Amino acid sequence: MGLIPICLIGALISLDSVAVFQILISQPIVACTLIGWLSNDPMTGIHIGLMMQLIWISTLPVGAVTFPDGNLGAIVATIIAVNSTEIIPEYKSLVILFSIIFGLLMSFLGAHILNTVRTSNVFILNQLLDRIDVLQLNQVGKTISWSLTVNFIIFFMVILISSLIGISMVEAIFSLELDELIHYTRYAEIVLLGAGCGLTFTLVKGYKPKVIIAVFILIDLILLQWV
Amino acid sequence: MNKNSNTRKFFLIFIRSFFIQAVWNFKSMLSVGWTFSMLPIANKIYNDSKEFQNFLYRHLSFFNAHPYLASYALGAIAKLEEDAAILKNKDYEQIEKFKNAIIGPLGAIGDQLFWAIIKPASIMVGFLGLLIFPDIFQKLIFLCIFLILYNIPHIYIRYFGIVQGYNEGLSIYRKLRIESFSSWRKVYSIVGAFAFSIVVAYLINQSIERDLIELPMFGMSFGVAYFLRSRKRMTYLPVFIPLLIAIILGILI
Repeated sequence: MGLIPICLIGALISLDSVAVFQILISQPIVACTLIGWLSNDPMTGIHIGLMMQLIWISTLPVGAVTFPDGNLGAIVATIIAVNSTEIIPEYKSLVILFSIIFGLLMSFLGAHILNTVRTSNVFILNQLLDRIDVLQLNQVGKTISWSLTVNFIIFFMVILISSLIGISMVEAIFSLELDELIHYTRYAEIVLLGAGCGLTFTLVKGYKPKVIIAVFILIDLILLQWV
Repeated sequence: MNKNSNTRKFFLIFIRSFFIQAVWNFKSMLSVGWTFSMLPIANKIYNDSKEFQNFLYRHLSFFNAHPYLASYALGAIAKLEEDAAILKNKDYEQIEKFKNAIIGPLGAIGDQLFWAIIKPASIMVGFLGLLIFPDIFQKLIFLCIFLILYNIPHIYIRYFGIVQGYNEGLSIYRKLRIESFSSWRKVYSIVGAFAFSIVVAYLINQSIERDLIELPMFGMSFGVAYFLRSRKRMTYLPVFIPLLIAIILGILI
């Protein structure tokens, strides 16, 4: 599937994150797998989905706070990775690392885009109220459709533009000799996974549950060694 | 009112409730999606356009809650609106007070129950399957298990929240305590803890098998991320600081 259809699907999936349904198909492990599969590279999608999921699992969208949009970042990271590993297969691990870092930065940008969308929704609300003032009372459904369309277009544009930037950055960076960089970044993946686990552990509240989980880990580790 | 018409009404509100966050904004928060979900009730009870207009003004003013738990409020307010219209007891101030009073508990319970327990626990189960199983179809099965695990309580609360809210009316307030959801919490906490412990043990085991130096790397990043998030409330640095340390060590070692 080409870049534009993939970005359209990515934008559609992004709506699940904050606008409709919220059945969690926008979570990185689902969204990245789906995008990877549609791009004929499900394993890269799963790889990125796992890393991004673990990093953002502990970020709670509580109330009206601005939180990193890890889902958007994960979608962009997957699109960059699946499109770039085809071009530069010999640096696959490095491309994945670059895509993840780019996706993390996109998560930061995504939070601000979400704020912009929510601010623009105030304008849509005011328009609705103006129509109700003149007794146009059947406008609520249309307002919802309009708002979702605007959200979809914004997400699509953001995903498309950032993916194009990311892919061209990969092409520029990876035209250099990077064998040493692969060596320098050899611990990056395990460190990202460790950081993700550490962040997830913050969700465990209280001393006793933490000790129980630590004991579970030890038992599992012994079993795994034994097996 | 017969049972069939109530079921149809609940179903219409339920379907529309999936759009409750559609026009989330900083002025009235969920109010547009909330009003959209309430429209099947308004269409039924208000024939007069002025009354319908007042209904829209009342509900578009402000509402915020957890998107799933909002169903309890949707059911209860639907009942109160019906009573006010049918019994000609137009105590809209009471409805407004109730709506405002219920915002806090709905948000707090939803955040604690879904975002802090059910979501991470379900994701961990899916994550575990994706991590451990080599075959793509086994991985996909675990993705489906994750979505089912998460959406069972989600869909249940979305639908039966409306039913319970409608049946209980104002007294639904008494049921909206985190203790009322303790069975969901217990089950998902255990499932989540179990899945998380296997994930961590698997990753440790993998790093030992690959290269022993990965083990302290994993421990360092785990500790640094945990400390920075839990003590300093940082968002991005818990990821970037361990990454930077890993690259520096990669150059030095």
